[in-house]
Amino acid sequence: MQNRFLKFFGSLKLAVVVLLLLAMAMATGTFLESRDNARVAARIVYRSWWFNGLLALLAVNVAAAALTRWPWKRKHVGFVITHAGIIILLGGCSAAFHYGTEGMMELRVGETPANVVRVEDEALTVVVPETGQRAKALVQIKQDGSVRPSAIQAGNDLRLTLDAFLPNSHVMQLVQDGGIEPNPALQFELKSEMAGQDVTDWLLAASPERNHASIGPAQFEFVAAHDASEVKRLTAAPAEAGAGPELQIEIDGKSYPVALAGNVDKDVPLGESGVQAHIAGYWPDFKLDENHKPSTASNDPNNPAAVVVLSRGGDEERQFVFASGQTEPIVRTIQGRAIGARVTLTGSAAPKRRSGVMTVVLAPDGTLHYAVSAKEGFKSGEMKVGEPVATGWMDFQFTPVKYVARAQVAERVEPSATETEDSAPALKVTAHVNGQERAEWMRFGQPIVLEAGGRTIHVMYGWDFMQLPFRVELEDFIVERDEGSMNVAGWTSKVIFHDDVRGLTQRASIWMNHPAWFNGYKFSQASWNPNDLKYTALQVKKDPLIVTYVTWAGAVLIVGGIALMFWGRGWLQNKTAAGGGKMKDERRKKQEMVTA
Amino acid sequence: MVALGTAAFADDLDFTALRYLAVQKDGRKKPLDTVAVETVEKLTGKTTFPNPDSGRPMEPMDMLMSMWLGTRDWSKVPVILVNYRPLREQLGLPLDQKYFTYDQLATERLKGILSRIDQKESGKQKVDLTHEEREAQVLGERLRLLDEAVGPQSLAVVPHPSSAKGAWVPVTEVAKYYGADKEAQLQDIFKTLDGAYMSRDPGAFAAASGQLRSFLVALSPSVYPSFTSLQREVHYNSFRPFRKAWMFYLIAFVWMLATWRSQNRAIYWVGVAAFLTGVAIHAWGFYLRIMISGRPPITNMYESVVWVSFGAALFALILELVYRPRYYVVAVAPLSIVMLLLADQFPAVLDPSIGPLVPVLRDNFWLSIHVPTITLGYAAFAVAMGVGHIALGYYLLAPTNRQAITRVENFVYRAMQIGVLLLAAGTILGGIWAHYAWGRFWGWDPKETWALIALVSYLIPLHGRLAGWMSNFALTVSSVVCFMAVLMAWYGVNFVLGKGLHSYGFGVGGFSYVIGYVAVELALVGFATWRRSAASDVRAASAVGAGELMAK
Repeated sequence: MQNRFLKFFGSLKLAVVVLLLLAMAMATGTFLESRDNARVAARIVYRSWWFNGLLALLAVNVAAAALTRWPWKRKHVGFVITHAGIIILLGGCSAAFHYGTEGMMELRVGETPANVVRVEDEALTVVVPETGQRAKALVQIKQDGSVRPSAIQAGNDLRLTLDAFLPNSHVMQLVQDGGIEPNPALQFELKSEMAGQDVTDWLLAASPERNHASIGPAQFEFVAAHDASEVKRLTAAPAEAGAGPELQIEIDGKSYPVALAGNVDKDVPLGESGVQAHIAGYWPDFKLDENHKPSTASNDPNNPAAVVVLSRGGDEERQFVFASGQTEPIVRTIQGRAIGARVTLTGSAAPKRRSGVMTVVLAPDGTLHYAVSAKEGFKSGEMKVGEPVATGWMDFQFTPVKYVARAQVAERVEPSATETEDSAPALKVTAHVNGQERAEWMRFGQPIVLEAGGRTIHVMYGWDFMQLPFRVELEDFIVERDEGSMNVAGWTSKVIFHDDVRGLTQRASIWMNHPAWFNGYKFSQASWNPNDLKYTALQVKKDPLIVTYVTWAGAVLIVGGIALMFWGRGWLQNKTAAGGGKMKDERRKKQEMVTA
Repeated sequence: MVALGTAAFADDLDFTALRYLAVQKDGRKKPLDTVAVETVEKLTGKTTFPNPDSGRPMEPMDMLMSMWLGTRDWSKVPVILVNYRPLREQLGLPLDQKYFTYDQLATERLKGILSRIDQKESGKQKVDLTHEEREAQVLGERLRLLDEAVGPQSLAVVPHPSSAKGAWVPVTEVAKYYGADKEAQLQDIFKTLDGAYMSRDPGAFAAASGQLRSFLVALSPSVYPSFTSLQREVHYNSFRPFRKAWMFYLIAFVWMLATWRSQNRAIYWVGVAAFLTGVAIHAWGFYLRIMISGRPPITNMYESVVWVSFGAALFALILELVYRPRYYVVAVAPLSIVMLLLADQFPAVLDPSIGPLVPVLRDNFWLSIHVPTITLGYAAFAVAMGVGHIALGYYLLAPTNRQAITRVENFVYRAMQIGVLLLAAGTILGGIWAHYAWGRFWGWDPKETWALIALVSYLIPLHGRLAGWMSNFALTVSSVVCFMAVLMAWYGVNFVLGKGLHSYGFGVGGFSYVIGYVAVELALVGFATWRRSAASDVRAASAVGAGELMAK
């Protein structure tokens, strides 16, 4: 009975069936990865119970096959070694999988040493800071989209249920009329047959993030003008070379022009008025810097401003003049009496047009105007809702679809049909506390705050973390490039390991194909960010070293065993029955082919 | 050997000295000769292009010189290949011609398509490009190439003064490193060269080219590449070892086939000698490539195709020398020829130029043995597949010749054995490399998974035959069918699945050819199976080979 049992598990027929099933399963896995991604393939195939069961069955089959040949003869040496190698290799890989830990560590140059490693598991963390209630659970999304666990208990009176999951979600910003504050919003459509594009989006004049939109190489901006002159300025043709901005200083009914460029820090006598004008400051493209000091954004006279000090005898007066016409000059008498000059700044050029930018201007009377610079030239005019305007870039047409004066923006998590740049998985949770309920969608990696039952509950759905028993610091990150080009040849993370327990530090360089080891953990260079050369991502792995060696030993046995099986048997048999001649040799080869 | 290259053109100017001018381009230093060959090939899809004035073939060096010296307005010469008709339609170009000028092509319409491609590719979600878009992308690349080749500011020929890895500059910026003095001297030489080129004065041109080269070398002799290394690459360009190799394989194949029934040993050895010459030239080509690039030889699809072709020929040669059945040469020569022709004919899919490596492939011992091992495994299975076709041929044409069939099937088995060992070793070596590169021995990456699937697919018939489930005929069939798993691991993962960590080898193109190949093979196998079961002596032939063989 036992013998028959062993015979079945060690049979060649079982081997053929198992190998065939494994091959088909693995092929399915790779196609799933190509269609979806590696995580889907791992979930459905490689980490499934049935696939690992199949691998286990293979191990049993391989072992039983070797055992049924007992007692082994010389000719079995290669076969036994190969089969032993396969079992050892499978065992090593499975031990590495079960006993190893693996995660990702993100470091930046100049940051304090870190010990937090991101693990490839998803976790839900709940914290109530006031009461100290906290709970964490690993979240698993099943194939059918259901969520495990279905609820988390944090303390006695707080329960979170995990209600639903969206594999891909995006945050929909809904722009609606009926806001309290004025908030001009314009919905537009951009269409091109040639480029096969048809995009609809909203522009919000008051929002620094959403008052412009980039679509491909083209940029759109939406500006609400304060007065008619600003409308004119914003839609004016590109500045012509020639007369720069100048001051018109009107004293006693007479006007004196003073050019700004070239006169900074100079005294200019104003003819018969007896007044000296001193240009104390000039900013062609005026703006306030972060310290609220006047500065200039560019050298183009887009928005000139100047400070002029007028003096006559003992009287001195300081005027801060702006060109845009929105702001009255700031006049201050420094000493003596006021001089009473009227200073205006004229010749303010229209903004220098950047090619590829379309500016839509909302006039105070509610009309829409536009200005656009394309290769063919400059265009401007009034536009009406529903009427397309040719931009001049290929056949792109811009149509204002809807205008809303008092827009209110609401956010809503919505399912996405496909994975895009901004999409993320989302989880719906409901907090149950003190008989109250509060439900909310939360996106992966973005913490939310729920107010329910008088509690402020912080909830986070994201990667799980693990802590290393030591800290790692990124000392430097070095990017090497190919000679004479910007092509990246390689990158190196120079790290320092701090073992506070043993009071030990150790430096190491980690680069492609060259990991570093510390306290049994292996650190490999995983990725980097071309836009942030102080950042590095290291893969952290802890495999018991013995497992690695066992795995490699298995590998050596397999290769050696196959070689022995195919080409060594003649040699092994020759040891016992030396000689035989060529004819015999030929025949034996033929037999091998049959019985191998 | 250089004279050989130029003599064919019977031109008046001698470009010898300029061929050995070093240029820093695409991350390495190469002779101007290589730049010329690559520019002309990539731009026109041909190895030489007719002179726009005379219509006679223009040597690549001549064309590059004309661009460099700016002797004509190249934006008005129809040199840019637009091979794909639907793209010509889309761009509104005349359909009856294939070559267009830069000005004709650099239109808003092409820019629109290219910007759409950019958008598609910058997105996180991978969107497959249409055939037209891929062709448009290649065209955009051609425009850029011409843009970068025209004018004296185009080629970085002035060496860095001190650092071996420092950036080189074009002749127009020599003052940046060497001051105004040298700039004046170089301008003089360059003007002389320009004049001699324009007047097509061979003597003056040769003198000025020699002067230019020695001037540039003298600027920074320690940084300038050695003459030997430049000479090696110029030799590689003109010798075209892989083209010569397939020619010898073809000679061997035709010879062996023509003398199929001959028992004369001398005639047989002539065929083997031709094959051996092919293998030797093939190996020489690889040696040159390794020396030129200074790295292990198999880092992209082009190199792997040429390498597998070499491996198959090498195994065929060894097995031929051991067993002398002539089957190996006849079966494998056509395979090696087809692979080398593919590598030669489709530079857009299989790029033959030598460039620097992507970071993950650099500086690793395990990698430099893992890839050659695993691809030699593919090569051994290609041999099995080739000889398998001879066995199938017997089943179709001479099903009663049991003796020959048994013999051929034995040869199929021999090749499969080599393949199993090398593929197993290669896959495991890949795991050891992955241990260093990606931190794990095995991670179910599509490339490693398909290597394992290919290995398992060969283990199935090998074990099935032992179990008595499959005949020797089934083994022959599997040598053909299982090779499709090898193709999937080799080509399919990179060109069809396009996912995983081996992304540096990804590409597009050739899918219809591969599908066509698979279809033809399956039809052949199906036909042979049907013929065999329909044959009258079916019972005798299909008895599981074992008993029959034992009886002998």
